[in-house]
Amino acid sequence: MTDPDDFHLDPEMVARSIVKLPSLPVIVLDLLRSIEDENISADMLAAKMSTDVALVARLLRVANSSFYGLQRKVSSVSDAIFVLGLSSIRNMALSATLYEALNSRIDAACFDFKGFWRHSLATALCAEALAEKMKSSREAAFTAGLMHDVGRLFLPICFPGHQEAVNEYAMRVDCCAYEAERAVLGTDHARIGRILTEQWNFPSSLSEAVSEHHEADKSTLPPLACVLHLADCIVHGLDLGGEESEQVPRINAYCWNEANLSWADSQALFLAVESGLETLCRELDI
Amino acid sequence: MNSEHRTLPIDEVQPGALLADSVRDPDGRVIFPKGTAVTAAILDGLRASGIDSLAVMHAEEMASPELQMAKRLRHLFRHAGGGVPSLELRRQISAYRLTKNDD
Repeated sequence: MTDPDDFHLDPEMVARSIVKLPSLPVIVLDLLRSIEDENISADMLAAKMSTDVALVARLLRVANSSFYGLQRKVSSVSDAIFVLGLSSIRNMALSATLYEALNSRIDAACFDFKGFWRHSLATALCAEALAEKMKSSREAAFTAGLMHDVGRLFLPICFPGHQEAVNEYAMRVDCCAYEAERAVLGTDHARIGRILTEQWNFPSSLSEAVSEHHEADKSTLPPLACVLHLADCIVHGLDLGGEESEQVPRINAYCWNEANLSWADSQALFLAVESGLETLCRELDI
Repeated sequence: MNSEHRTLPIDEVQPGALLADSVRDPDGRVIFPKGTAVTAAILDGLRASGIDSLAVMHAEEMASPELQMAKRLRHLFRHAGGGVPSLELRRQISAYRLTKNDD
């Protein structure tokens, strides 16, 4: 039997190892920062996105897909922003660029990246829809959903042995990933996600939400963290991947009450998440 | 609804039986979706709210998609705790799945 202390990870070890991770493409950081920057114009952002040929091709394909049912074809990023709105285009661009950037850094054999990313996209869509009801920014919520589990990528990249120990524990005890991580590592992917997103200079409200999305017992949480926590729980309940190990984490009662979802709200929300996910995955080739 | 369901006096319904119809409150909100396996506590609660009979499923229906869905939801929520949020979310997802199956 391995000594459980062998796998303990303290914040300094995490911070030291995160430095070794490759940085994110400039376009991702530009898109993220633009969410909180009121001075950035749609034209400036369009110009930045237009420098990435693969991204432009994807955005135009999605914008021209039957999902949006546009009367005429759009042929540039500026056009797409004009017709579909800056927020939709930015969300699509972030989904596509982050997928590329993160996917290329992970060994497909030891981590189901596609499943991971489908869950992230679904959480983004769910958080975006919940944000409206919970008086949070829709865009910040979408991005928080995309990034909420980014800490889960750290272990397979930097500490594959630790990841195996966590998997083994989760299988044996049948618990959520974050509970296995806390037991084995003394920390979890939400807290690692905070260190990672701080390192990348993400907006602080986003780092905070990522860090607190598994706080089921706190008597209160910041608005964006509340949105994110609930979105994550709901998406696990919608069972979009169908894995045997899938489970709904414990739900924070404060967040549930804050959302105050009516029967009609929840039915519309579930439908929006399921149909939105199918469209996004199809158009982004995920 | 299917006429082959048995409607039984609530005192004859055994814990573990599966609801053949959703149980609704006076406002029409689903309290327990179709396919719910009733427990002794659920039966007590229904009795207390004045319900005196229940439609339950026949054995052959128990391999139905509704039952499979209810089993899967029980599995998904196995560690979500017994508090109001997890019970509510489970009911809402259950109702959503049943509506989708009916479409």
